[in-house]
Amino acid sequence: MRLVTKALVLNRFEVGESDLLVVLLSPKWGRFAVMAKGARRSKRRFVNALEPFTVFRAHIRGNRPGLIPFLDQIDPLEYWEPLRQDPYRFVLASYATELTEAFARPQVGGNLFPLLCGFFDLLCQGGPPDLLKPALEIKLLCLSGFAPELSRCVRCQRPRPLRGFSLEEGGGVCGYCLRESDTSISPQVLSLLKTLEKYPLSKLERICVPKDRLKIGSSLLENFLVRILGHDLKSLRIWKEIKGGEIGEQT
Amino acid sequence: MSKVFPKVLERVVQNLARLPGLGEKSATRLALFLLGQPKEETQELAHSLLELVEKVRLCKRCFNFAEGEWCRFCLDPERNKSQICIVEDPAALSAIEESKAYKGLYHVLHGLLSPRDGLGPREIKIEALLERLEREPVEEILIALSPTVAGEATAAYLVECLKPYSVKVTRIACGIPMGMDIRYADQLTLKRALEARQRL
Ligand SMILES: [Zn+2]
Ligand SMILES: [Zn+2]
Repeated sequence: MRLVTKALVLNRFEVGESDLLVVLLSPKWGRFAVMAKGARRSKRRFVNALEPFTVFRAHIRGNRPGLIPFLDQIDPLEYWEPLRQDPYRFVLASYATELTEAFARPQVGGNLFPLLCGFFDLLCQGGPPDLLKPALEIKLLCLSGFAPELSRCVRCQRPRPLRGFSLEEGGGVCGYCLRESDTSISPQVLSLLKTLEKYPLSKLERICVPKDRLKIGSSLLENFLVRILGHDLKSLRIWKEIKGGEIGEQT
Repeated sequence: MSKVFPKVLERVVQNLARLPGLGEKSATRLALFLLGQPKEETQELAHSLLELVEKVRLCKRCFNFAEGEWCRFCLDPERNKSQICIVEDPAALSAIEESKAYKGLYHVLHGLLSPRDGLGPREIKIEALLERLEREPVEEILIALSPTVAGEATAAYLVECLKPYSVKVTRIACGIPMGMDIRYADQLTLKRALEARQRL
């Protein structure tokens, strides 16, 4: 049986001497894996489109249960070229891809496809990385069923003003229920998180947030993500390094 | 793990199976072949492997493979010391060398920026390159990284790092392979080929 779908590459693994196991994300089927036979030997069949940051039409063959289908052919549709020409955007886009792969469970997560594409579009158009990154994070959480509770206390369930955030319980905590292990959170940071959750990525440019508030909100989200995933994200460390301008300068 | 073979043979199979591209089946086939061929030939292989790990190290200056402190290019007085060609790994260096079109020195990065693999600017030999520029009479840096996503992003990062230095920075051209019909070239390659067109 043959199937055709739009897709982009989330990850690739070398198999044997010449094959690639490719993890794809498609609007139809979410995350799924295909085997690209001979992809490392003959570049011609898959040209340069089996790389990150490219959308293509994937022709897939064989869907016997329990067997990985084969990728027969791809027709490149769209390249996000600026992501390969700017190292900072490249690293952030790599992080977005790693995060999306982590949250997209097999056969679901088709709704993550337009989110990731929209994120790449805005990065290429020069959108603000410091806002786009936490916004993508919180939207990924919401779309995968891990939306942080930001309107009521996760301990007493009352809609009281929130003073802290519990990484374990995944939401805000009121002053009465606050424990030492909770991260304290200001009303401003709380409202920033709500804004990032609510606003579409494309409207983020319009909001203005002080740098330190953005930093606090971002690191809270990063800690929450790592807590949920149960492992560190390699590309997150590289993003922090390259963004900090420890080597070279920041654009 | 099979219980059929002697432990010594099984150990060889397990060690071979850890090599890239080899499964347990191929590893068993190779181990049996090594056992079956004349003793001297297998001993020669074993000795060469020992010598490999004992003698081959990275050149102090360019990080190419070397048998002493310096690699053969850094030791060669005929090489043009005002040019440094940046390559991803020694295999890429060897490919460029085989073209016989380059006579300068090299700098081997030992990787490309690859955030998903935990490879950032610190993990590849970029700082060492900048240190070389402080000491050596370099006039041109030639970036010869593959035009993959990671290769291009690494090249862009290098260009930025090299901005404060007064060196000419060039990059190998990217375009249609020799003998290929342009009707079959993909749009990205064609676009790059047009951008890199030459005046005749
Ligand atoms: Zn409470
Ligand atoms: Zn050398």
